[in-house]
Amino acid sequence: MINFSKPILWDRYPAFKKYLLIMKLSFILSFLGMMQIYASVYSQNTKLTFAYKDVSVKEVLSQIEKTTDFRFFYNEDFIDMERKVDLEVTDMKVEDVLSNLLASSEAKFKVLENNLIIIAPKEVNLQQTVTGKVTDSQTGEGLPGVNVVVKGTTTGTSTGSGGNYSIEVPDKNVTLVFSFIGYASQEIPLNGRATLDVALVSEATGLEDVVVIGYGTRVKKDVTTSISAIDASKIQNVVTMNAEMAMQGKMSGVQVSGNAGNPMSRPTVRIRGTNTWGVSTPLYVIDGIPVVEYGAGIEGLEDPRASDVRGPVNIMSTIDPNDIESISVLKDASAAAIYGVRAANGVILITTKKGRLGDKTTIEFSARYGVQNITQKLDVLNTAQYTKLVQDVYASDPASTVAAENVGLFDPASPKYLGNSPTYDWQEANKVKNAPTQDYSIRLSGGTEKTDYYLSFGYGSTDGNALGNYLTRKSGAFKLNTQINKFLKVGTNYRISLGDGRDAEGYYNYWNFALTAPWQPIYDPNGPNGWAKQVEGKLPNGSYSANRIHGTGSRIHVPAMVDMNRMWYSNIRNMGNVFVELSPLKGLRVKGTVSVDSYNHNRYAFENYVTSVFNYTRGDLSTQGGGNSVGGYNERTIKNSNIISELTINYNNKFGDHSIDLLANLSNQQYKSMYGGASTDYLTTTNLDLIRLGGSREYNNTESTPWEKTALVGQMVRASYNYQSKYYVDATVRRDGSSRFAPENRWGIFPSFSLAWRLTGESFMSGIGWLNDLKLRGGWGQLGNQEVTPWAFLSPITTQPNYVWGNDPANIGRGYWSEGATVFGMANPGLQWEKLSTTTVGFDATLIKNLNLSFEYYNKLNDGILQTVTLPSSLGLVEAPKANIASVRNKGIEVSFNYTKEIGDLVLTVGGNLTTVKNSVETTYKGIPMGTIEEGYPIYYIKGYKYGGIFQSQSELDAWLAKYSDASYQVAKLKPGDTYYLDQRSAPTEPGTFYKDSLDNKIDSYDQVYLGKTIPGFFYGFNIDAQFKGFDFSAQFTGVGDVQKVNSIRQSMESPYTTGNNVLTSALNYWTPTNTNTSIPRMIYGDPAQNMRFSSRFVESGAYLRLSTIQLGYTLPDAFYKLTKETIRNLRVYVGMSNVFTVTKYTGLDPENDNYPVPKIMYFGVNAKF
Amino acid sequence: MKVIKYYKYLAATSILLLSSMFFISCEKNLDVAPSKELEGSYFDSENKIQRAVGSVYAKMADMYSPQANQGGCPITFSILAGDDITFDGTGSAYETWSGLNASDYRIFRMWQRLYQMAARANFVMEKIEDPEVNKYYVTTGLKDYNKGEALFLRSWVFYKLWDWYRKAPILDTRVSFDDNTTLPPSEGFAMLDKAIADLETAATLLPASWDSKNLGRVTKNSAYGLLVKCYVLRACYNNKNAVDYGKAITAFDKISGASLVESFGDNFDYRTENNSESLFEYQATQQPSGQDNAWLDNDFGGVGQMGAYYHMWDGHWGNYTTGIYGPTQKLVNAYEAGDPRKDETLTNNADNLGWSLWWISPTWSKFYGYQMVKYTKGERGNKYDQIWQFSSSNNPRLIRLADVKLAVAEAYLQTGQAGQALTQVNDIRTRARNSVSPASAVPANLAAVTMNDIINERFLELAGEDGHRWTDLRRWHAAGFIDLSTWTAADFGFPAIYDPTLFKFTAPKNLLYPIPQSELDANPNMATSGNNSGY
Repeated sequence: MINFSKPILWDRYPAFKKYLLIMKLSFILSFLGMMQIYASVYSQNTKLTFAYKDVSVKEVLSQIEKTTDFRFFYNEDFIDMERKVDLEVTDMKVEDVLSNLLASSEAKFKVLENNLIIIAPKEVNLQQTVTGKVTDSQTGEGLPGVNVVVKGTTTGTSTGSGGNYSIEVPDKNVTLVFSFIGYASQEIPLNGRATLDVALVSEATGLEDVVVIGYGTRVKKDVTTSISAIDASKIQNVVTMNAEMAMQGKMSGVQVSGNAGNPMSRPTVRIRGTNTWGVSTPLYVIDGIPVVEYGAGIEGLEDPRASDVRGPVNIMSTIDPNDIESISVLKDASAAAIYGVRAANGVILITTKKGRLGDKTTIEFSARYGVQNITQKLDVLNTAQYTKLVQDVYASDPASTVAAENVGLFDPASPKYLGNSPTYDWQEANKVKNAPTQDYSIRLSGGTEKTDYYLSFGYGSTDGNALGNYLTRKSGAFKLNTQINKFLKVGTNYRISLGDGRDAEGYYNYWNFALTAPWQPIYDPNGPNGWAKQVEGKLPNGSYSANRIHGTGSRIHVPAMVDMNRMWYSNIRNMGNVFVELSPLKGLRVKGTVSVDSYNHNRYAFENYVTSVFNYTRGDLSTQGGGNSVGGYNERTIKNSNIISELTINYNNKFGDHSIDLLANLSNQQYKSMYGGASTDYLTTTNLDLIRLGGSREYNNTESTPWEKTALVGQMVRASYNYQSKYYVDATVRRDGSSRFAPENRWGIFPSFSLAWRLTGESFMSGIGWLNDLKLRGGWGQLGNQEVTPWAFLSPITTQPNYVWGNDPANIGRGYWSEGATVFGMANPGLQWEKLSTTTVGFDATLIKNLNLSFEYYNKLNDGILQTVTLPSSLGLVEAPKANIASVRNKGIEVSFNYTKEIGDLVLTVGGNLTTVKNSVETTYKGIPMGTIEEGYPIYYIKGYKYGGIFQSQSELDAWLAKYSDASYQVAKLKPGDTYYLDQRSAPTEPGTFYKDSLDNKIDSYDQVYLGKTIPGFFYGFNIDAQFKGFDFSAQFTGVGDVQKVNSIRQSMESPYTTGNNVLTSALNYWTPTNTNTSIPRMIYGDPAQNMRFSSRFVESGAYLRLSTIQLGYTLPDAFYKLTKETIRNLRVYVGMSNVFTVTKYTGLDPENDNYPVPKIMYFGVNAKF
Repeated sequence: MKVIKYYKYLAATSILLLSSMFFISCEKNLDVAPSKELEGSYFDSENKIQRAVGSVYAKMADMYSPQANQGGCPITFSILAGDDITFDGTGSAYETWSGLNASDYRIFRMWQRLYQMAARANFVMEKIEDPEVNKYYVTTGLKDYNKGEALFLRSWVFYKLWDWYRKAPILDTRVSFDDNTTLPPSEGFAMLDKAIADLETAATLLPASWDSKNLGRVTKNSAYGLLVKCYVLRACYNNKNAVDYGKAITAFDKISGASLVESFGDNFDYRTENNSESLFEYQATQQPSGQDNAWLDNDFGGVGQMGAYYHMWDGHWGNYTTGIYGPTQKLVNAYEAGDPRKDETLTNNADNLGWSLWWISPTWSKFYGYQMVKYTKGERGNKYDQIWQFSSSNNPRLIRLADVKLAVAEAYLQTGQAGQALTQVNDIRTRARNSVSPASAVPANLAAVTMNDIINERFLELAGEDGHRWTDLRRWHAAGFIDLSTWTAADFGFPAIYDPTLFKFTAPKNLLYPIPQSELDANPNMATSGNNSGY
C-alpha cells in the first residue's frame, strides 16, 4: 500500500493541497501511460470473496492486498479512508468490489495493468483507454509517430513502433483525429469503441522527399540542418554547360553570380555570404569525391601563376548536367560538418543518376538546340565625331604634344588625315550572332533484383558570342551496384569526360571591342588573310616599323588574330570509385570506398608570325627562332590527381519510437598536381595538323614543376537520434588533419550539433487546423578551413631572381648568368586552422495544404582567417606572409516558400526564396586596414572620393581653392569645368588609427571613403510553374539588391579627352561655359584635375531582376504511347528562352558581367523515354 | 547457425581492426614532402651561398629595367627632377612638382624595392653567420667578402632611402613573423649614419678585386667610393661639417687601383663594362631564353627582366613611358663648344649616329630636336633583348670614379685644400678633352676652382645618370651653396615654351619625396609620425 506521507508544506497552505495532488497524480498517470501500461487480464480473472462488518475502507483495502496481487494507491488527505462500511462479496471482480466500496464516497478508482489500483478524488480525471493501430493504406505497414488527438482537446498521443497507440479518452463517444506528415488527416468518431484501427492515405507534400545529406540520405521531414536541394527536373530546365548555373535563384542562401557569355567561365558561388576574401568557394563533392584543382588554396590570392596555369576552363563543365540526379547544398556547419575539411564555405553535393533494382531497362534520350545572342551594344563615336574630338583635345592645351604616331592624322591639310575615313563597327566585327548551343544525351538504366545499372553518353557544345570561343564536352558514365549476398554489396561508378575549348587569350573583354578607333579598317583584300594591318610592318627599305598606321587610337586587331592564331584547350577527366559494403548485423553497414579523380588539362597556343602586323606590341617577329620561322607554338599540361580512400561505418536502427543513426568515417585524401610546358619559336609550317615541338633547330623551351602534394585526413563521428519524428538530436565531431600546417598545428577538432522539435507532433498543437507541420530547428557548429598557400608555415628558398656577374668575352655585355637563391616571404610556423562558427535557428512549416514555408536565421563568424598579412613595405618582403589574421561575420535570414494549387486540370506552383546577407569584417591584423578589408566594413567595399561637382565659374573655383587643396590637382591648370571632391577625413595623429574624422580642407587619400558594397545585401529568386493537361510551363526569376557596382565602362569611356581609345557618345556632353548642366567635366588634354579619378560619380546600383529562364513544354498523352505499344513511354517537346530580360538601373553592359555578358538564348528540345 | 553468427562478429571485429590501422597510417599520410627547397636545407655549398648574395644584386633589375607593367621604370622619377632632364609636355609631377602625392606609383615602387634589397642583404648576413651554412665555405676570405657585399648593398639602399625619403625605417636585421613588424621611422641622420658605419666595415671586409667571372661585384673601392659620397652628403646637411669632409678625403685616399677610363664614352658602353673607372654598376643583361618580359619583375624568374631601361630617351613603341624624357635647354647650352662630352651625352642629329634600329624616329622633334644618347649612342644602343627590343644589357653605371673625384673635390675645397680640389676637377676635364682623337681643346684646365665650378662640372659630367643631379642640388641647397627656393622654372630647366606658372616647386616640401601612402596605411608607427612635411 502506498500512502503519501503528509507533507508539512501542504498543511501550511491547504488551499494548494488539492491542486498539488491533482498535479502529482496527473503526472504519475501520464508517466504510467507513457510506459504503455494498461489493464491486464489479472483483474478480469481474479475473483474476490469476503465479508466485513464495520471496518474502515482502509482495512478492507488492506485485506484485499493481503490476499491478492492488487496494490492500492491513494492519499488519505483527500479520501475518507476511515469511513466504516459493511461489505460482503462473492466471486466478484475487483472493479465491482471497489465500485461498491466507494459508491457513496467522493472517490473513484482505476485499475492499471500491473495490478496497481489508484483511488483518487472524483475531480481527478481517470480516463478510459482506447487502443489501436495506424497503418499505411498502401503497404499495410504500421506507422510510428502518427499523432492521435481527441478532437477539440489538447489530449493526444502518438503511435509507437508498429503503429500501435493507446489514448486515454474522457468518454468513448469522442472523435479521434489521426494526422501524420505525408498523409491525409482523418477524423473518426469512437462511437463507444475501445479499439480503433486506422489506415492513413499518403499525400504528397514533399516532406517525404529524400534529401542527400552526405554519407546517406534522409527524408526531408527529418532534416535538422540547413540543406537546400534541387533535382533533375529543375536542372534540365537550365541551358548551361555546367551544373552551377542550375542553382541560380532556386535555393535560399545560395548565390550564383558572375555569369558570363564565355561557355568556359566559372561562375562565382557563395553560400550565405562571403566568409573570407581568400577562398570562399564551396566544396564540390561529386558522388562522394571532393573536387580539388591545381592552385587550391591560393586561387584569388596574389599568385599570378596559379590562375594562369589553372586555365580558364571551369572544371565543373566536365560533368554532364544530364547525368545529375540531385544537387544538395549543405549550408550550415551542422550539415557541412560531415565534410569538415574544406567544407567551411558550404558543400555542394552532386549525386548522379543510377539504375533502380527491379526496373525494366529504360532508355532516355534528350536533345536540345539553341541560339545565343548578345544584344547589348555601346554607343561610341563615329569617325567624324571622334576626329573632331581629338582635334579639340589637342587644341585644348598648347603644351600638348602630338604622339609621333598621330602626327598628321588629325590635320585636314595632311594626306594622312583620318577625318574622311568611313566608320568601322568593331563591336560587330568581334561578335558572333546566333551562336549555337546544343546538348544531346542518351541514358540507359535499369535493374534486376540484385543489380542496378546505369549507362550514359552525352555530347554538349556551346559557342561563345565572341569570335573563336567555344566549349564542347563528350562524356560517358557507367554505374553498377550489385548485392552479392545478404552481407555483401559491391559497386562501381565511373565517369569520363573529354573537353575541348578555345578562347583568344586576354582579348575577351566585350567593351574593349568598342574602344577601337572607328577609322581603323577591319578588312583589306591585300592584307594577310584579307584583314587590314594595324602596324606598318616591313618597310620598303627592309627595316621593320611597329608604328600603328592609324595612330594611337588603333588597337590590336582581334578578329585577325583570332582568325590566324589559335589558343585552345583540351581536357580529360576520369573519375570513379569502387566500394565494398558489408552488412554483418542488422542495421550495421561497413563500407570501404576508393575514389580517383584524374583531371588533365592542356593548353595549346599557336602564333602565326604574320600576325605581328595586327599587334603593335609584338614587334618584328621575323627574327624569331633564328629567322625563317613562320610561327611559334606552345604546349602546356596540368595534371591533377586526387585519390580518396574512405571507411564508413554506419549503424541505423529503430527501437520502438527511438531511431538512431550512427556514422563513423575515416577519410584520407591525397592530392597532387604539376604542370609542365614546352614551346618553340621555330615552326616551318602554319598548318595546325603538322605543327610540333622540337625539330631541326633549337629554339625550344621546356619547364615543369615538381608535383605539388597535399594531404587531408579526416575522422568523423555523427550520431543522430529522433524520438517519434518529434524530437531530434544530431551531433557530429570531426578531427581533421591537414598537410598545410606545421605538425604541431596540423590537427583541428570541430564539433557541431543540431536539434529539431516537431511542434505539430505535440498534442497541444493539434487544434490548429491550418498548420499541417511545423518543425523548429537550430544548431551550432564549428568548421575548419585550411585553404592557404602550401608550405606557408615553412620558409622555402626561391631561385627565381636571376643575375649576372662578370664580363663574358663570349657574350659581351651580358655576363655569366646565374639563378639566385633567397626568400620571398616570411614563414609563419604558428599557422592554424581557420575556424568558422555557425549558429542557425529556423523553422520549416507546411501551412494549410501544399504551402511550405521555411525561415532561418544564420550567424557565422569566421575567425582566424588564413590570409595574407599586409605588412609594411619597409619590411622588404616580396611575398607577404600568411597568418590567422582576421575575422568576418555574415548574418542574415533566409525565407523560402512553395505553394501548389490545383484548379481543375491546372496545377499551379509558385515558389520563391530570399536571402539577406550582412557581411562585416570584425577584426584585422593589429587593426590595420588591408585595402578595402577594414574593420566595420564589408569585404571589398567600394572606396573612393566623394564627388562634389563641377566648378561652374572661375569665381567658384577660386573660392574653393581659397579654402581647400587637392593633392591630385595640377593647380595652375585648373579651369571651370573641372571636378571637385568632398573633404571627409584627415591624416591620423593618434597611434593605431589610420585616419581622423575631423576635416583638414585637404583632399587626399584620407578622403577616400565608403561608397558602396560589392556583396549584395540580399538576393532572391522566384518561380512559377504550371501544368495543364499535357502542357507545362515554368518561369524562373532571379535578382540581387542592396549592392553597388563600379561602372568601369563609364569611368574609362565617358572621358571627354581622348587621343587614343574611343569613347561613348555621352562623353560629347562635356562641360563648356555654355553647356553647364552636365556631369561630364570639361575636355582638357592631360586631365590636370584628375577629373576621371575614381569617385562616387562612377558608382551605381548593381541591383537587378532577371527573368532567367522561361520554358513551355508539351508531353504527349497516354494514347500516343499505347499506339506505339509502349515502345515510347514518354515524349516531351519544349521551347524556352534564357536571360529573357533584366530590369536594372545599372548603365553598363550587364550588372553581372560587363566584360562578357550572358547572352539571350532561344532553344527547343525533346525528351523521350523508351 | 551459431557458427555463422560467430563469423559475422569476427568479420565486424576485423573490419574495426583494419580501420584502426587505416587510422594510424593516416597520421603519416600528412607528412607530405614539400615541393620547394627549404631554407634550412638549401645551403649545402659555397656556390649556393653566392646565389643568395647574387639575389641581392638581382633586385636592382626591378629598379632599372623597363617595368612596363607597373607604371614604368621606377628610377626615372629621380632622373627627371633636377635641371638636366625634362619631360615632353607638362604632365609629369616629377618635373612640375604639381600633383605629386603619396600615392605616386614609382615613388612607392622604388621604396618597396629598396627595402626588398635590404631584406635580401639581411638574409645573407643571417645565413652566413649560421654555422650550419658557413661550414660550407672553402674559399679563404669569401665569407668576409660576402658580408662586405651585403653591408655595401644595404648601405647603398640606406643612402638612397635617406636621401629621398629621410625618415624611412631602418631595416637592419631579418624580421621574423613574431618580431615587431611595424618599424618606427628613423630619426635625423640615423639611417645615413648606419650606412656610413656599415660601409666602413664593408671596406675592411671586401676584396680589392674579383676575377673576370665575378667582375661587377663590389670591392673595397666601391665601399670607399660610396663612403666619399655619403660623407660629403652628411657634411652638406650638417652645416658643412669639416669632420665629415675630412673623412671623405680619408676614404678617397684609400681608393687604389681605380682610374678614369681613357674615353668618356666608355663609361656608357656595354663593351667596356666594369672598367677601371667603374666602382658600382647594375649588371644589366638578358635572360638566356632571349625573353625579357618587360611586364614581369625579375622575381618572376625565367622570363623576368634582367635588363636596363633607356627608351625614355627615344621612340620605341613601348608604352607611355617611352620617348618622353630629354635634355633641358640648360644642359644643351651648358657644354662649351668642343667639349667632347656633349656629343657623348646628347644629340640633335640622330640619323648620323648610324642607327638602323626600328624604334629610332628619323623625325625626332622633341626637346628642340635633342635626344639623350649616353647609353644608346651608336653601337651602345644595340644590345636590347631579342623579342621586345625593350630592355638593354648595357649596364647603368651607378658610382664611377669621376663622380667620386668631383665629390672629394668639394671636400678638399671646403676644408681649404683648393689645390687638391683643382687637381680632381682638372683630371675630369683632361679626360673629357682626351675622349676624342685628336684631343679637343675644351674643356681646358681650370686655373682655380670654386664651388660653382664643381657644381657645373658635375652637371656636364654626370648629366642624366641615376638621378645624381637631384641629390646634388638638394645637398648644395642644404649647405647653402645654392638656394633652390629662389630658383625659377627656367633655372630648373623647365621648357620655356610652357607657362612657367605650371611649375610648382616649393621648398622645403619638395626637397623630400612623400612617404608612400601604402606604407602609412600598413604601418601605424609611420602613420602616426605623418608624411613628410607638405604632403
